[in-house]
Amino acid sequence: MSTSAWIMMLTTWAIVAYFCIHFFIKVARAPKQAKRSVKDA
Amino acid sequence: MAKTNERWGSRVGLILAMAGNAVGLGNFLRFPAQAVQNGGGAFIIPYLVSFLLMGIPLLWIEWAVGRFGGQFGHHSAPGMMERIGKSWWWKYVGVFGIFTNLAVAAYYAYIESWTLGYVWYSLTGAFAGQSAEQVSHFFSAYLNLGSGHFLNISGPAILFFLITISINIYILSRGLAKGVEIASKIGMPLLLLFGAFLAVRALTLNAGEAGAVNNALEGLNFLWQPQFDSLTNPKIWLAAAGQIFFTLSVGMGTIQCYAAYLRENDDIALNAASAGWMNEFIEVILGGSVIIPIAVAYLGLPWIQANVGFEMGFRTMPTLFQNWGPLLAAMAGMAWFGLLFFAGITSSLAMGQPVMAFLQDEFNLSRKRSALTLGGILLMLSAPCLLLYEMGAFGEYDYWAGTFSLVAFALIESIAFAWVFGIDKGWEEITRGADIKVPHFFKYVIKYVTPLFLLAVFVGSLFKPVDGNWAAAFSRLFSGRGYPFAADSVIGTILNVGITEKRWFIDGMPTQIFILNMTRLLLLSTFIGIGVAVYAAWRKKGAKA
Repeated sequence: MSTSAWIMMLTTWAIVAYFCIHFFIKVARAPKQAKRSVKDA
Repeated sequence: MAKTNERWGSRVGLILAMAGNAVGLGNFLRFPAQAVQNGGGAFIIPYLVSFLLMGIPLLWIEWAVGRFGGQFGHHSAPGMMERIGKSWWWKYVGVFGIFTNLAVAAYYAYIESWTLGYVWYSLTGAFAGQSAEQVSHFFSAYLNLGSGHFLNISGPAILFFLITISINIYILSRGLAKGVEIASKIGMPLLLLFGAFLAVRALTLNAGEAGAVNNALEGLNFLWQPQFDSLTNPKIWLAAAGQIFFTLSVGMGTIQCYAAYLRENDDIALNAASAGWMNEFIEVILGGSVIIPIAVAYLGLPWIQANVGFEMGFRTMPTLFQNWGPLLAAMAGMAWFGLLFFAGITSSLAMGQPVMAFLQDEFNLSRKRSALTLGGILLMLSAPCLLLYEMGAFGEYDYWAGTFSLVAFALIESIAFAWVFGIDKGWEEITRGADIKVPHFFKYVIKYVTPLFLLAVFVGSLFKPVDGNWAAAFSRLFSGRGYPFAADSVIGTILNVGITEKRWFIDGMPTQIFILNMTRLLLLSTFIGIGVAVYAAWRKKGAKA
């Protein structure tokens, strides 16, 4: 595998993984809203 | 009117259901095929740009439209569009949001049933000792293709299809929190687990090991080798934007439906971003690391370039797994088709929910009756896809419902949101209750860039020329030799470009062109039928009010 392909792949993976984990952690750390959502109308 | 009081059980459940809606068969079968057919590494930059300028803004638009409509008791597109468009006729634009789900679910559930069938066959060792030709033939026999019969009637395929529809209807009948959400909480982690198992195995395949003739990394090299000169090619941009469409399940009415079960001040900005990026993680990292590396390791790059496509996952993968020994082959088969099944079912459930919501909200049907009605309609609508698969009915469903309608609805919806509802109100809707700060420039992206992007995709799909060569097409047009529509452009499809036999019957038997035209008529009738149902529902409401 060429160096440029490695750079392209790992950069893309890093960006995608970063935002995926970053946003998911933010969701998991927002318990108050989760509580508000479980109530039935 | 009966107002449903259903809500999501938890925020993580909502995110997994939304991500499950987006993650579908396309993440593992369509994305790698598109990337290979559009220059490998050249594809990824337009793909990511499209995600940022069209995908994420559309996700926010659809979540906002859904949550807004939900405040008025609407959980399906007709009612939501009427509220957003502020005029009575907008509810008929919302017909797209019911039609697309019904028609796509009709053929999508069929593919989903293949994956279920193939899990069974993998676990029972049906592929053991079979050659590549035999495994490919197994797929044809499973669907009863190439038998020379007019109808493709296959007992096992119909059986697994009925099981798949029954599972979907059962889960939907249990409701949002106890059905869809639990299915997503089970399905998504298993999908990730199966995907990770296959990706690790694929990426560690070396030439000479377990029958492999190439290093799997050669497949990745092709997928990720940047070719920056291709960035000026409109064909690649259209393909990348199209893939973003399919992968995020925008333009369908499913996201709006799920978001309609949120409260007025619940966050949508972070939820949408989280679900969208989770889909990208599964598509780019897992979807790109399974089928192409494994197939390249055993069959080589030239074979992939010539044969890549949707059926490859069924015709080829079971043979390749056989090289790993009986136990690992069974496990890999179960993991591969199992992950496809979970990807499929979380999406098909999302397609069923808007139809259920429409029946519950507008016709006062109970959840169980709505689910059974949906099951009945799906069985009727899917019959042409099953029985006339080889005659092209399946492809017509995919084209008109799964391709054209998505783009058309998303384009109209983005204009309605930014220009009719108003970008200021829309922006307030997106940012209200937000748990992240949405960069302000997205307000202008949503107002100008996203609709223009969608317009380009829409016009591109209407006039797509042969080989995607726009310069040659216009040169030909201006020299008076006519415009060379591609067979898969919208106009080319309507004109039946590429089909030489124009007669409808030969020796009393219907030809392919007859089946294609009748399928289009059926789909159009379905669309009009839903429009009539919307009219009847509103008339009934008007009489009651």
